[in-house]
Amino acid sequence: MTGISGKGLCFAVSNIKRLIQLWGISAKLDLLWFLRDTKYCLMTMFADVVASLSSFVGVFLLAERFGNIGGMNRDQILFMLGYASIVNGVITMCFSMNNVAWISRPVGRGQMDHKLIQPVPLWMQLLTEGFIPISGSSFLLCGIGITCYATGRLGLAPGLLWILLFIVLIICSVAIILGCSYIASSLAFYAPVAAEEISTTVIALFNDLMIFPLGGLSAVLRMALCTVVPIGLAAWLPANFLLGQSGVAQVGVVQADATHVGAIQVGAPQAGATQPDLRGVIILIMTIAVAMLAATSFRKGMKYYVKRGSTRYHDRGHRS
Amino acid sequence: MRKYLITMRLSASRAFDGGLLYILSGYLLKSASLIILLLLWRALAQQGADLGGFTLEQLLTYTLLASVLSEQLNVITPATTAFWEGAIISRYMRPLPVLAQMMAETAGSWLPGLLLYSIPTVIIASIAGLNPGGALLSNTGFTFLALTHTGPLAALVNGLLFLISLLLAISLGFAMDFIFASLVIYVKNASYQAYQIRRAIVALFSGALIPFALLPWGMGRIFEMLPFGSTASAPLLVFIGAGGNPIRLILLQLFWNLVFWAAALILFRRSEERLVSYGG
Repeated sequence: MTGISGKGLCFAVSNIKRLIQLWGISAKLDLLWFLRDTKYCLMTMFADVVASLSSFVGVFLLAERFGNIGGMNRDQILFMLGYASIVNGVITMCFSMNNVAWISRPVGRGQMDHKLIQPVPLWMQLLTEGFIPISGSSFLLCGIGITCYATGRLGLAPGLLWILLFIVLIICSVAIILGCSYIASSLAFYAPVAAEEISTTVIALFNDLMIFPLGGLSAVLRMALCTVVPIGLAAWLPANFLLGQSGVAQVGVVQADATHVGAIQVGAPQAGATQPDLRGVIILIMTIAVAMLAATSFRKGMKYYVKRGSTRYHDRGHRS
Repeated sequence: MRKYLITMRLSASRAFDGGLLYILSGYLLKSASLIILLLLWRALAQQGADLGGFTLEQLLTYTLLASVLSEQLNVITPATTAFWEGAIISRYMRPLPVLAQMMAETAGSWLPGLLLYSIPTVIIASIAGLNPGGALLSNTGFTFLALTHTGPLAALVNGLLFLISLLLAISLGFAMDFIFASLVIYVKNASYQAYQIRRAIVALFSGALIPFALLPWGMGRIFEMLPFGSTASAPLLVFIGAGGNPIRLILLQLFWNLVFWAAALILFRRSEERLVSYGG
């Protein structure tokens, strides 16, 4: 028994070492691009920031105009937008190179072969080859800036536990978006042409809709948007959970400024620390469910791909 | 004319090359965005918010039309993609002016969207109680023509003004896209980045997503005067009868058309000299 767990531990340690090595290689490649082609690299970073901010600015301006949308005030909405920026920033920084997040493209284009001939497990490649810590950092830095500013305006003094909870929720939101992308992308194994861009649609769906405060919608719709089409889990519900609007989510948060308390408690009245908070449970269960479904459907699609290969290439090498 | 119609037909049928799933997934995204926005406006109205002079029905109609006419209100021709992919060279080998064939291709590419998204969405919205035709009939904003009454005559005038405004918006959209495409030739490899920035500008300044009247600090008044406002906000305001005198909006659109088409033609001619194309 000890031997098996020792073997497992060695395996895990060697995998972690390999992951760090591969992240290092990806980071080095990104740095090389920045150094060799600084002008275009900076243009990309600038374009990323402008494109992302423009989609958020609209909702923020609405919040500024109306003061309160969907049970959230202006500063809370700003916090949610900051959270959404961080989620998008993590996806951009960690999963955007080689279409890792937009996996239906390599699947539909028959490019999974490129990965299968590498001497690294597929999961390890997917986890590391999308990493671009320099050219993909602008969005994340923007998000961190917005979140810090909103946190200050809300008068929150986050403790260590709250920051840990924040990081866990960010990982859950990223996992849900990527999971949905992978679930939809599994279709590309069976219909490579038709589904080649389906992950673009799925991620665009999240990008376009995750910025809206959904509190004004009916309970049924809110539930649907947190389960069936889990757009609400990408930013709205986690941000609410972190702000502790109506439950026990104020893990380690000290409300530093009493004048902001009213703003923080816009939703239902505080329920007290003894009641379980369904939001956290929903986020956790949905993350696990989406991740499992994504892994299962993608693995099944891969089995099909391994048997059939890609049908998109002509003998002369052109893709249909 | 026949050759343009054939180009349009080819472009329309090309949209189905990727299969129904390819084309329908985009419409699904548009539908979801539309539903969320409509519900958001409704929720705002229910909480008693001031809708910037719009009635709820006007605001919902504005959003519905912005969605069903999204391709016409934000014109994207194949020019930039053709430069990026190197396929621009094939356009120079066809017996048609380059800009004209790109316009025909674009117009053709709108047909599947109009058939599979716009018309069904308007029908579903009408069944659900949001009837754009009703909004047009009840539009009584044209006091300058003494047409303050409702009825078929007012609807006819409103419809005609909307059509003129929409055509001017589309024309301006083409001019803007060609200017943008000309600039893309200058930035060479950074066409995707340029596209991202353009998308960002249009999203905020055209008024297609959020009507200018709902923006704070009087920003809407400034945005309305900018050329981007003439591509989306103007025809939508003319349709719902908000935004003041429709003739003023149409004249502004006409002015921007003259300026932008002159700039587009000059810039495109100059950029052609710098055109470098690999592949295709």
